[in-house]
Amino acid sequence: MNVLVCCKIVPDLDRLSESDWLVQDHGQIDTGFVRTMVNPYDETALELTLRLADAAPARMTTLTLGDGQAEPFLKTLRALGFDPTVRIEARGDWRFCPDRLAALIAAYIAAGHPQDLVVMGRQSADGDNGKTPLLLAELLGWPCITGCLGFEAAGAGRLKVTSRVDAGLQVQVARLPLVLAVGNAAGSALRVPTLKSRMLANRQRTEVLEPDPGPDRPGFRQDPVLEELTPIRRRRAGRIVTGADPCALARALYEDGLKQHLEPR
Amino acid sequence: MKYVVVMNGCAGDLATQARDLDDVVRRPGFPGQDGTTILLHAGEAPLPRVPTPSAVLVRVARYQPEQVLDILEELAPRLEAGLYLFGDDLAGRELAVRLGHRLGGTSLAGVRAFELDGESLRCRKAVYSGHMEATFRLGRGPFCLAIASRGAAPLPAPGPGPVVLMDLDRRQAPPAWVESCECIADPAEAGLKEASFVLAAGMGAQDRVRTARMAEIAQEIGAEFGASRPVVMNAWAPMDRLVGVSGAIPRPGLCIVAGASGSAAFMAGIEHSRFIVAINKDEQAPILGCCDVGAVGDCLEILEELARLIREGA
Repeated sequence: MNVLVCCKIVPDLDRLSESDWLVQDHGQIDTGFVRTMVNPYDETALELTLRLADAAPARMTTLTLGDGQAEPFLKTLRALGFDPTVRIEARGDWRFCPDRLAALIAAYIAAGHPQDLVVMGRQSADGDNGKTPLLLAELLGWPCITGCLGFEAAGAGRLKVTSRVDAGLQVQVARLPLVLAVGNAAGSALRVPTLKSRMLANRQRTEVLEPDPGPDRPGFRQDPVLEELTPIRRRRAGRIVTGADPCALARALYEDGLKQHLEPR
Repeated sequence: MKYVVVMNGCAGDLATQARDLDDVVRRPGFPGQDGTTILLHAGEAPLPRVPTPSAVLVRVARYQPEQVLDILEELAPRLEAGLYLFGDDLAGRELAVRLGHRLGGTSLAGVRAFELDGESLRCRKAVYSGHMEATFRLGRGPFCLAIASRGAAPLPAPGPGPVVLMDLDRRQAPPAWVESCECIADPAEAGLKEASFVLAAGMGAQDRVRTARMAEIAQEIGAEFGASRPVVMNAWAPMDRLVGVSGAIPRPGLCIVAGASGSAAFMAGIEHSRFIVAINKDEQAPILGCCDVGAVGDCLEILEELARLIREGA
């Protein structure tokens, strides 16, 4: 089974304080001073795919769009068994360009890299578009299962997929090919490779593909277009009560507002 | 501009969808006219109030996105709508994006507000995991929007029902690629969405045992228990307890936040609370600036005392 996992390297936005959210030219936010990480939903997608490959033979490719910052992460993924690791050199502003990104992934598959399964997180931490897997499924003409929590092989050309739906959980045995959009799956942190496999991964290189101009590509019309970014402020009164011990603090909270907002039981 | 509201009656949150979508079409300056609701239903529950004067009822065996998209695509030429509105749940987001693509229009999910500007639509939505609000211009119709809940008030008593334009029966076998499908209903999530009193735990809970104790306390004081994403990702609490951008967004009168630092993604889930009480041992935690009243200390110790006061009605 050929599995393509698409992932994105994003800044850890929770490390930014309120005063760091400054909008610069062209609606850019400077996040260069915080650590980067694999987009959390994509991290789950990578780990769930590794679990699939633990139990059944699978050729796992990972594809990302980004600059050299992605390299340490791709090396880790090689050490975990993703081969090849592919990076499309990014130029331009891709944050809000899921249409073009989906087209790029579809083009990669069509260019001699056939896949049975494409897995990725449901949305990225910065763009928050939540569109790429859905648009990719439309472009490929494949079914898409969203809210995916786990999947396992279920015989030749079949996958058993557990997903969250609005009414609960759904377990489907589905024929491939499929696009899976991964949601919140508990206990799915990406495993850590051994030192030995990490050293072996040093011998391989990322396949770096031709840069894509993205939204600046001639003939491509970006829609929707970003016009403005403003910080969301959620400040409230924030009265901090004082007390000598938990009992006194609880009493102060209770008397200072909580009691008045309790509904009669 | 004619508009269509799509409601998924196969989901457990139909009341929330109805409330939020009704709120949208009643906002001042709403650009739609002559609206029609397409109500997907499985024929089990009574049909809810719909936010438009007319409706198309579509009975389906279950919510199957590819089949629903085919139905919406088929109805599109008859309804000639320039604007499609969906709820902001999993199905609403999926349908908005895929239908927008199929109809050659533009889609956006998580839309907080929108206005017509000439031929285009200006929409605002949260980005950067709830830290920023972006304004987008959508140029190419039809516009397919999944509308973010803003915690609207409950619907008034139902008025006259809609004019039913069509009553379709589209129950069919699952598509060929689905070999089997089993659904496990989960009413707990809907309970959290509609809760009037929420106790939400964060990583300050420290471990699974203390988190479980917080869930017990919630039950003892009559609150729905919620948890931040790190807590449910650690499996200290079930996933259906998740509060935040990717989970429930309730609008309680009272929300107690115990041990959550106040990340933007979490805050987006509780920002509609009328009154927020926060407990955190870190006096620098952002949550203490985003609550109405807060205390610095061990969240479980204070919560135990607070629960005693609530139970005793001190």
